[in-house]
This record gives sequence, C-alpha cells and structure tokens, in this order.
Amino acid sequence: MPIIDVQNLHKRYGDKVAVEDVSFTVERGEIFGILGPNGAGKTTTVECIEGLRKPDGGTVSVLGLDPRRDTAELRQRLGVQLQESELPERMKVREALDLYASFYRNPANPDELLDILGLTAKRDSAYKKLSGGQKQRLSIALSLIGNPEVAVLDELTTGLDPQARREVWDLIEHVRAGGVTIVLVTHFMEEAERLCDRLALIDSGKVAAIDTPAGLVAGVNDEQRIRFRPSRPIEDSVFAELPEVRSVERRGAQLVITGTGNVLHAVTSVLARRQIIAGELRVDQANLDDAFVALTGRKLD
Amino acid sequence: MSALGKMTASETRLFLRDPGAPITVVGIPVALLLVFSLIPGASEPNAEFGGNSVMANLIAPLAVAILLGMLALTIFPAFMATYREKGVLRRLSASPVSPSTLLMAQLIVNLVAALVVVLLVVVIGTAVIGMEAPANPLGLTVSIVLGTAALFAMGLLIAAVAPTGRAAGAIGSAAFFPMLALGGVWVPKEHLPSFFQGVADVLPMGATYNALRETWAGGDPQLLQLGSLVVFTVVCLVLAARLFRWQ
Repeated sequence: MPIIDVQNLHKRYGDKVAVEDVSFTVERGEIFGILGPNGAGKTTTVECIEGLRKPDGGTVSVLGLDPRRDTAELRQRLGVQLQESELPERMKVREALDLYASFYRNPANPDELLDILGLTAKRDSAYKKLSGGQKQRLSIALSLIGNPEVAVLDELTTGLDPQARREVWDLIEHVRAGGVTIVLVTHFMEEAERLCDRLALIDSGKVAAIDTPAGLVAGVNDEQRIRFRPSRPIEDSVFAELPEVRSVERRGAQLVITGTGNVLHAVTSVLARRQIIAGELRVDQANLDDAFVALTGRKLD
Repeated sequence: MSALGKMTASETRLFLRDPGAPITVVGIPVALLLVFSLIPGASEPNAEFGGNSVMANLIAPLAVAILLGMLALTIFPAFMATYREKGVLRRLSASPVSPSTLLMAQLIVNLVAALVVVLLVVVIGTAVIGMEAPANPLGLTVSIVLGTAALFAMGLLIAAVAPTGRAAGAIGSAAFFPMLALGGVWVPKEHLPSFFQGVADVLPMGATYNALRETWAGGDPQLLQLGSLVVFTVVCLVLAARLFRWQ
C-alpha cells in the first residue's frame, strides 16, 4: 500500500486554477521528487498533502489518514519543511529544537539531530546569526524532530551556494537511509536527478510524466553528442559505418558525432585501435531539462 | 511541561532578549515617576487636585496608562505581526501545536510584564517617592483590568491588519500618541472643552487614564469610561477574530 496516495487533486484560488489534475503515489522508503517550474502547482500540491489546504476536488491519503480530517494524527507522523518560513530571530538553535521536540509524542534526540546536521557548534547561536545553509539545516532538523515517517521538503536548497547545497543533499540521503520516506519539491533538475528514486514532472497544474530520472530522460531522447579533436586525421566513414552512430560532422578541426546506445564506447574503441588521441573530448547527453522541454514544450526555469 | 508552558517560557526569553521591549516597558513608567517626583511639592497634597498630590493624580496614572498602551498597541502587535510575516505562525500550523498557542503565550508574557510594572509603579510611588497609595484599590483594579482588555483587543486588531511587524509598530504608534493627547495627557481633561472631555472618556487610552485618576484619588470610575472600554474590547475582538490570518 502506498504511503501517500493523491488522486485527481484539484485546487483553485478564486478563479485561478493552481492544480488542475494531479495523481501520484509514493511508496514507503523512497525519495519522491516533484519537479516543475515556478508556479506549476508543486507547493499547493504538497500543502494539500500536509493538510494546510483543503482540496477542491480529488482525494489525498497520507499514511492511511485524511489530512483534513485526521490532522492531529498526521501532524505527529509527517515532518514538514516549508518554503520561506523562519524562526524568531533571537531564538537559539537548541531552544528551537527543544521547543519543537516538546510538541511530539516520541521526539528525536535534539543533540543527535544537531550532530547529524552539523549544527552542534551553533547550538547556542541565535537564528539571525546563522548562514543561509545553517538556517536551512535547522529547518530540516525541525522537520525531523518528531521522528516522522514521512518528511515533505519544499525547495530545500533554494538560495544556497553550491557547497551548502551538496551538504544538504548528502544529509537527505542520510535521512532516507534512516527509513524516512521523503517527498522533495524542487525546480532544480540537478537536485532531482541526484536524489530522487522517482519523480513527477508537473507543469501548469498537471502531471506531465512520472518515472525514474533515467527513465524520464531515456523515454525522451537518448541521443548523445561526442565532440573531439583527433590527434591525427581520420576519415568520417570509419565512424559513419558504426551501427550506433547517426551522424558525423566536421567543425573546423573538431569532429562531432551523434548517436545512441553505446556510441561513446564504439567511437573510443575505434580511436584506441588506431592509436588516435581524442583532444578536447566532450560528451553531451540529454538530461531532465531536455526531458521537460520535450514533454511540455517549456523550459524548467 | 505542556506546549503552552514551553511556549510561554520561550516567549519570555525572547521578550527579555528584545533590544527595546524590556527597557521601554520598565524604563519609561519608572522614569516618569522619578523625574516628576523631583519637582518640589509634587508628592505633597495639592488643593488643585482635591487634596491629592500631582504624582498620585496625574503622573502615576499616566505611567500605568502609557505602560499598558505601549505593550498592547506597539510591542504585542509588532511581535505577532512579525511572527506572521516571517512564517513562524505558518510553521506552527504544520506542527502538532496550533499557532493560537503562540498567541496565548504572547498574551501571557505581555500581561505578566504589565502586572509586574504596575506593581513596580505602585511600590516605588508609595515607598520611595512617598505619594499616596491608591485610595480606591478595587476601582483601580477594575479600571486596569478593563483598560488592559480594551487596549490588548485593539492591539490584536492591529496585529490582524498589519502586513509586517514594522507596519504593526507604526500603526500602533499612530493610534497610541493621538489617543494619549485626546485622553487629556498634555492638557488635563478638566481643562479641555466639553466635547473633548467626552472624547477623553471614550477612547481606550483616555478612558483608562481618566478612570485611573478617579480611582487613585478615591473616587469611582465613571460608567462612561468603563462602558466604552467594554464596548471597545468587544468590537475590536470581533473584528480581530474576523480579520486575523495565521499566514
């Protein structure tokens, strides 16, 4: 039985439709991504899962509970990290964790959480003295303080520098290893590709596709483009006759070869046999951005 | 400890850490008392005030009214509006504890602060400065309770309509200072034209201040003063309940 089951969710604000028709399920233990551009309806969708908003249509079930009816029970078992929610600026890190720990039946150990999140040195720092990455880690800590079975994390690395972002990603993998099911809302392709077991691409309030990151990319286009400057001249036909190769072009001193499947291996084998070195070698593969464009006709950002 | 207990302890710490709140709340009323007590004869019986001293008739009631006004109209709404603006209330709605618990905790902290400073004013006034103790303590207590209710209800309404903490502070001040003037703080009520005398007993700052003056001197609070405080409390609470948003 799925841990989260969303069927035909519909939500509008006045006459503006935020979520047209969204359905998906999340299985226990997975990291499920909801990826889409700003304004696609991602946040509204998870707010309905969190019981913060009332759907105008469709059904939502989380841990077998109805988020609007069994709210009290849901709050105990679902951890939430909200976009743009802060703490009082003079509250200290440890105080925030202690306060939130007191809200739950079976809280996690605040000191252990601080340690896992690398905030032990900051335990007596006021919230306003924390860096963006530290605030974000504290926000994740608060979402986990109740020992939740599911954590919903909304735009968790927005505004972080690349170093802090990678730290947060490591942390999420650590949390999942501890058995927590994670729903991750993001508009970063790289984040979704790195973390998610499966993801739903959402555009204009509808699900464009649900699959693994690799599945989404492969389903769209598995063409690869290989560019290099050979160390000595080589005729195009050597490559053109390989079954994996689709086209061979010359751009000045560079060869540009496109193909599918194991094209990279086929090309490098030819080069190795002839003892030709590929200078300035670059391989471009389709990624989730391309998949999103192919599925919706729009770019992610 | 219960969530409300934990939250009240936490809000107490945050209140005491605020750069402005504790200093203004304790400092301004106490400074008012001490500075005016330096005027020769300020604590002596004065025929102009029916045998009461200037301190007991004007300054101590003013210190209490200003204290209540500052807490209820500027500090409390600024805290609450900031909590809404920064998403603190919203974050709580996603936890097992309702954001209304934070509102309760804030009210408790502010009311306790008010009580402490009122006692401080009375104790310093009588023991250190030597002015008369309130001559109608029951009437004074009723006036303070109803005044506090009306002013905090107004503060809640301000917190409901202000989009940011800064805006709440500004709206609060914009209500506080004119109400002080209209309440007869700069020109005592009895020297105001008759229309303004009525206004002074109706608006919550003035109604509180003038009821405190009456009862400190031993008189009873006027029905107009107490009645208008009750009406303000009810109207502001109803409006605040309709307009208040947790996010």
